[in-house]
Amino acid sequence: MTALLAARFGTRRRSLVAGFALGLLLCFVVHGGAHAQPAPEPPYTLPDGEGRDLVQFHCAICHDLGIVRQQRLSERIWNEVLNDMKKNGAVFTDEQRAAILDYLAKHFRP
Amino acid sequence: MKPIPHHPSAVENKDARSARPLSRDRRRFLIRAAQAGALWAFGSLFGSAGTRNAWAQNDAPGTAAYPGKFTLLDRGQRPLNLETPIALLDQEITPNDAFFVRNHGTIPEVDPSTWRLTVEGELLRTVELSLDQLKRDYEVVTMTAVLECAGNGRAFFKPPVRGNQWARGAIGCAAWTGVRLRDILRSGGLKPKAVYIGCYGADDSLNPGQVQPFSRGIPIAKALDEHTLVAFQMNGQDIPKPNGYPVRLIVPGWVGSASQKWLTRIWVRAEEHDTPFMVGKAYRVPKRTIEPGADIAPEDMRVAMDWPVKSMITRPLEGSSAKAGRALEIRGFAWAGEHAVRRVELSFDGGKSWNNAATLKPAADKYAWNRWSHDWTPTRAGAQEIWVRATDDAGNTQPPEAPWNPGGYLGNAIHRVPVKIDA
Repeated sequence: MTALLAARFGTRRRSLVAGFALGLLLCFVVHGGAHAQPAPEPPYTLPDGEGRDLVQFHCAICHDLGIVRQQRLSERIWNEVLNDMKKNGAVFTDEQRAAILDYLAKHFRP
Repeated sequence: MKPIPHHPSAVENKDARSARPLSRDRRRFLIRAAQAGALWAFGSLFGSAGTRNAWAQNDAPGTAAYPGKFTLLDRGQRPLNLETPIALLDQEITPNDAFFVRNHGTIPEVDPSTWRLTVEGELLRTVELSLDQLKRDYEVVTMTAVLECAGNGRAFFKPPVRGNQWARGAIGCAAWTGVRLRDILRSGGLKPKAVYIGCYGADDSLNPGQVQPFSRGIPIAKALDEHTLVAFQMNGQDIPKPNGYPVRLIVPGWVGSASQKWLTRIWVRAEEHDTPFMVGKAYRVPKRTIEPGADIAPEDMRVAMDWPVKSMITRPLEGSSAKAGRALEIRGFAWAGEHAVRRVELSFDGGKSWNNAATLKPAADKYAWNRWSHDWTPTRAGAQEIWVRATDDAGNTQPPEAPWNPGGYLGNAIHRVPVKIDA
């Protein structure tokens, strides 16, 4: 039992040290050091579905899609968001607006 | 009137940038590298850290970097929004390269040699200042203060609300060096009609012509508080570009958006400032508490001003492990907007009892955060939650759930940290 605990402890400590070292290495490989350059946005940042291309086109003119991805809102609130975006200069037809709202309410709901 | 104490290290470092020995750079680099390692080693906190398209897995953000900034949590690239992971907040002064970024528009290139601040409106005479004049004509002070985005904690509102889904890291505490705004206002001769200031920066909106540049303001009483600064240094260095280089306002204890970045103009007004970022639902909270999810008319809301009492556990990290029978230091910070923190308590039984008082260290300055710690020895193995709550000097205690509001502002719900206790 003692041996087992010792072995477990040893393994955990080794794995922690290894994890730490790997963490360091990854940070430099992935990010090119602590102060990295901004990564380009990947081509597809929204889940597939009807209306995705409209959202990508209309919303990404002014801002990136990170703000879309991180929200989970009811259809009522998404509708409010689209009203505000229209005031902010978003241009879409009624059909396009309906398709955008459907997409957001379906894929980014609470 | 109590003088604002100088922060010795900040003053010493004023011109240290070029003179700093290499060994110190290397040490800083190694500290950052260790932080990077820590970030990865405690990666369970961040779920999908490292992947940008986090939607496929869950709501956890990916990571992103900006020149001069450490790799932080990605809350959007355009506009740039970066959240500091709690793993990097376990220090009394948040380093500049780990400090969160909340932007609404562009990050402007401002030439400090041509930068001017214009202060006009309800004044006897307009004041125009270059950076040299600002530093020469007014007393320079340094003050340590917390800066926290109004939306920090938005991710915890139920039902969910619009906006950047900040968790707990849209906050930092830094030593700010600058001049008192009240000295500038008085040098212009404040008229009795002055009730509010409106602030403008050099940044533009992401849809210029259609959307006004970001502009907010504060009541004249707060503008005349000795702690409201026109700051040109952060932790003894130039303010980082995404944090407002070369000059920004610091309105301590209040929502971060009041601290206008890349400051160029202050309009002293005879009425409340009324840009789109001051009216409607923007940076406004209900005058009275409302049912979660309820709709509310703009006239039933008021401008979000000072932060209510709040606290956070910085160690242990969420999801980490501890060992039964072995003492562990639980620590973190507490802060209280315009108030002082009176006590910090912990609960290990899901909030049924709060009889574990933390040791509270005095704050460095009026608006700095308080370090607290508590030694704890877990007794039995299994899943355990550590809860913390702070109480201010007016008797206000952090609630289990923050008062719901449609903008998700002023989220000060108690922090609950799940840990695993091994036998």
